[in-house]
Amino acid sequence: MAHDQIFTLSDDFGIELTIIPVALNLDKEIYLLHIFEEDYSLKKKFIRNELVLVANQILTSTFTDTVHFMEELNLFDTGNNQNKYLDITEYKSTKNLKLKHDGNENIFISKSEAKAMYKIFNLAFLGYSVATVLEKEFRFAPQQLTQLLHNQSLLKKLT
Amino acid sequence: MSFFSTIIIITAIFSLFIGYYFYIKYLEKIYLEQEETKKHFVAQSIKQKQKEKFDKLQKLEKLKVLEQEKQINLEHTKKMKEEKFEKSFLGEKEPVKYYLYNTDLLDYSIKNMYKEIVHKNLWINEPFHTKLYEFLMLVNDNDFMIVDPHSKIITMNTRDKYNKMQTSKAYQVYSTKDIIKHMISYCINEIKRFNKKDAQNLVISIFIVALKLSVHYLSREVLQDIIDKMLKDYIHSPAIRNIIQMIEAKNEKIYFIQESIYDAFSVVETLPYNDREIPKSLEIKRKISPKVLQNI
Repeated sequence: MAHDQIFTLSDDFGIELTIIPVALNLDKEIYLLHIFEEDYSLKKKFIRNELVLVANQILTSTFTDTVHFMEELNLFDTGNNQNKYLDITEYKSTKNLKLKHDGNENIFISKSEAKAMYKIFNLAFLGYSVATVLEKEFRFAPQQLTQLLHNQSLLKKLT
Repeated sequence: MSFFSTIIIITAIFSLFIGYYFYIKYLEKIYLEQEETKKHFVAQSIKQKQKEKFDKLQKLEKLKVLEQEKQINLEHTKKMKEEKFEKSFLGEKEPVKYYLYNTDLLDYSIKNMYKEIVHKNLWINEPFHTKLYEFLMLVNDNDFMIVDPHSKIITMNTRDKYNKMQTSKAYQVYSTKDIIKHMISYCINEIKRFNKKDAQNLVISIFIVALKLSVHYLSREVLQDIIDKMLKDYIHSPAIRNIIQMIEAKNEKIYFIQESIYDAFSVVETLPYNDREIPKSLEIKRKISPKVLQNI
């Protein structure tokens, strides 16, 4: 059992990493989790990873997967059944995206929501250096991610 | 004659005048010296008087201290005499020692629990003492945990170092150790109101209630087996089972145990848990080290 009274996440070189959840859609509880390091002397922030949290699920845990998910959102109904994360469904002749996941609830995403989420995803990189995430992405072990979520009290039900 | 004599007269008068002047100066000097010696003498006498006063005060203080010391010595000798007198026909007084279990190897919180239950109440009667120690060892040796009822269960799709997808579940848990500790410190005063036998059964039943809620790396069945095994050879186990039924039925008399669980859940710190953690093996019955004579 992990005891993390004073928990700070740091990478293999001992650089401290910070997490900030960015809300992509509040109703469907879709969040982008920014993982970044901050260099105070250079006054720069470097992105180290991006995760997508949907309701009670960490959907993607690597940058490549996250970008993949976002592109499927961006394609919306021009995507097809080769989509990995989103199915295209039709309800009363309106097209929707349905999240492929093993959760109990079905999550549908309308076109405007998809567009808005994609927009926020692109805005989320403003002010950050993105190149670092491609070169030295920080990969989470499940235990580390659990500790981080607990530390950010993201494991608590909001009642 | 006239000129010469006048000069002589004038010089004589002049010399007389000078003589008189020096004489007066001389008198003045003597007077001043006398005055100074007088002043000096007066100052010296004042100083001496002050010194004498100070010496007197110091002597008085010294006398006081000496008297106090004398009194203390007298009291001490009196006490010694009394003790000697007591010893002569009551035997030597020694701090009382009891047969207690060695708690040095236990966690700090478990040690404190042992002190609170056994030391404070002197509950060293068997078989309660040994059974309690067994339960403490069980909780000490194993990482039992209680899943937080307010925890989200987050499914995590992560990639391992070979880029293969792996799914795991994350949630927050309580350490059973912390919960039991909180429950006992919450209930102990209420428990002490019962008679000794019931109170001891209540303490054991707190352990069982907490263990019933717990899991050991998500295997819930194991714990019921453990509880059954622990209670198997205990004389009071029927009474304890009764108490547990009463707690489950929310009996008013012992509702404070239920309250203590709710209180523990709101106070005790949560810990993160991921079901990918490799489970440690269970340690159910370690050989118990014999009791040692100790003073409390």
